[in-house]
Amino acid sequence: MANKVEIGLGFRKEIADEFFHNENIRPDFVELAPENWVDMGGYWKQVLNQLADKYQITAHGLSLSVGSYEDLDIEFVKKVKLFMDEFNIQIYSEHLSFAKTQNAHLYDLLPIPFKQESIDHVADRIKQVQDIIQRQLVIENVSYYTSLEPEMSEAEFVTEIVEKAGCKLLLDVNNVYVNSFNHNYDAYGFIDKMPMESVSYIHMAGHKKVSDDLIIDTHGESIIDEVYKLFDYTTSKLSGVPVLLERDFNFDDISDLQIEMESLKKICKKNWL
Amino acid sequence: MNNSDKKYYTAEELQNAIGSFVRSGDRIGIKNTKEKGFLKYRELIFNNIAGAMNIAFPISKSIIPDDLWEEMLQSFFTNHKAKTNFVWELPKEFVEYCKSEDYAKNLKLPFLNDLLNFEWMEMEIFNMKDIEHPAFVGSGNIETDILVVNPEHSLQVYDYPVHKIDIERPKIEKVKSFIVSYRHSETKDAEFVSLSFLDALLFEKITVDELAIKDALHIIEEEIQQEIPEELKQKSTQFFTKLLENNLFLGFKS
Repeated sequence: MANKVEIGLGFRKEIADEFFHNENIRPDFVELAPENWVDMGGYWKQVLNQLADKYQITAHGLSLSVGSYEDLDIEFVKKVKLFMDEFNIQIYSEHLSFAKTQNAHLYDLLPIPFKQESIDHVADRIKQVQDIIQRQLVIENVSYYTSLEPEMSEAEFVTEIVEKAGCKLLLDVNNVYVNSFNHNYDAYGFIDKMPMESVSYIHMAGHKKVSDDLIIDTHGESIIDEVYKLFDYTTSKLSGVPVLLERDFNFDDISDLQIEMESLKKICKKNWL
Repeated sequence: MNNSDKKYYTAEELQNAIGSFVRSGDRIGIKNTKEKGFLKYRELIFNNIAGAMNIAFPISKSIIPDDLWEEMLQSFFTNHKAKTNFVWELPKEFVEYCKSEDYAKNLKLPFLNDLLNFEWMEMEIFNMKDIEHPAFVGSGNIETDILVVNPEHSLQVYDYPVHKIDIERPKIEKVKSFIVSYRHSETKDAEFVSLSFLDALLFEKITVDELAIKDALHIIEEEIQQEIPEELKQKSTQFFTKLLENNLFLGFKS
């Protein structure tokens, strides 16, 4: 996907038909969570086959849990690898988070403590994954609602992990905005500290401000102007990486998603072409 | 958080503490953290899990009073260590958890385990991995040729006829029930069919022992040491003809 402007859309079962029958929805590629599709048969397998025929697919995982202290779920990673091979998926991204503790899945993305020991631990696990999937993992900066006894800044933490693991970075610009608000730092300064040469994928989404001091990364609202501005700034420092619009619910007016994708494309074209 | 909050020394300790908090709600003290943030995680994760259960078990949820259903979900969330990577499979673990906690007895709903399993089977059959269909031919003699079963099926034996439950009057008598859930090979919908005791025996002889209906009936007569009335045999044959039409059977062995 390099050297091109490509704007994708998260594929959700609730709006699956729109990707096939709505001419107003025209993503350049789609992204899905392997956890919702691996080992699935029947109706949804048919849909997945059709999807792969029509679109390039990227995989965005939810349960790899690179920060956990349980053994890496090798069988699961192997399943993801087979899934990627079957549907010609080139990009497998995951979250810089933990989603499992004490052998219990939590089905959410919790923040890894910004500590040196975490960097060493997570980098080793990412390398293990990369050995199995035979490509670089693309790791995402997550939104978080509290930090855990941090020894360093988030920017230092993310940068060191990418460097040490030899992985790629999925830069979620909305998450940068959300975190900068919730944890009171400068979003532009954070972008400046990111290893831009490692960024291979961008996420954009809407969020919800639930109180004066808390924004939740909902993926349920439209992108606000401040995040578009931060995206403009971010893309001015990059070239030709795929951009994905995430929307998990609030699908009342589906054409809004196409408008958002076109807005993102316009900014990318301005900065890249 | 105040100065008496515990200092966690390792990342693993911290992560375990967060995991314990979000599942149990028992307050933990971690320095330099936002309590509101912890609470938000707890809320988001519980809602995610509760949402998956509400979708999987609409009948059970409608029968059980809201506060008790909420208690069951909270207990599951707190005490159960979820094993699957796939949220859609988590309801299966909930069925097992409810059995282990004996909610059927505690809530005085003796059919609950059967009902939860019945509801789960619909979801499992709909979503489960494709199973390759065996070879078959479309035409044959229903009595003397061997039927080929749709492999995407599951025969469940219940103590209660939970497929007949009326959510307005959910009291049902204990009657052994045989339900086959299956995925229609054309529509991909999850279907179910209730079998009589004789038809369940026949189903097993046909699908496991690969016998034709006529031979299977003969074997059953030998096993029960009793002749099956001709009328019943005809009824069963007609019933299996219907199952063939409805895609539980794909055709006949070639």
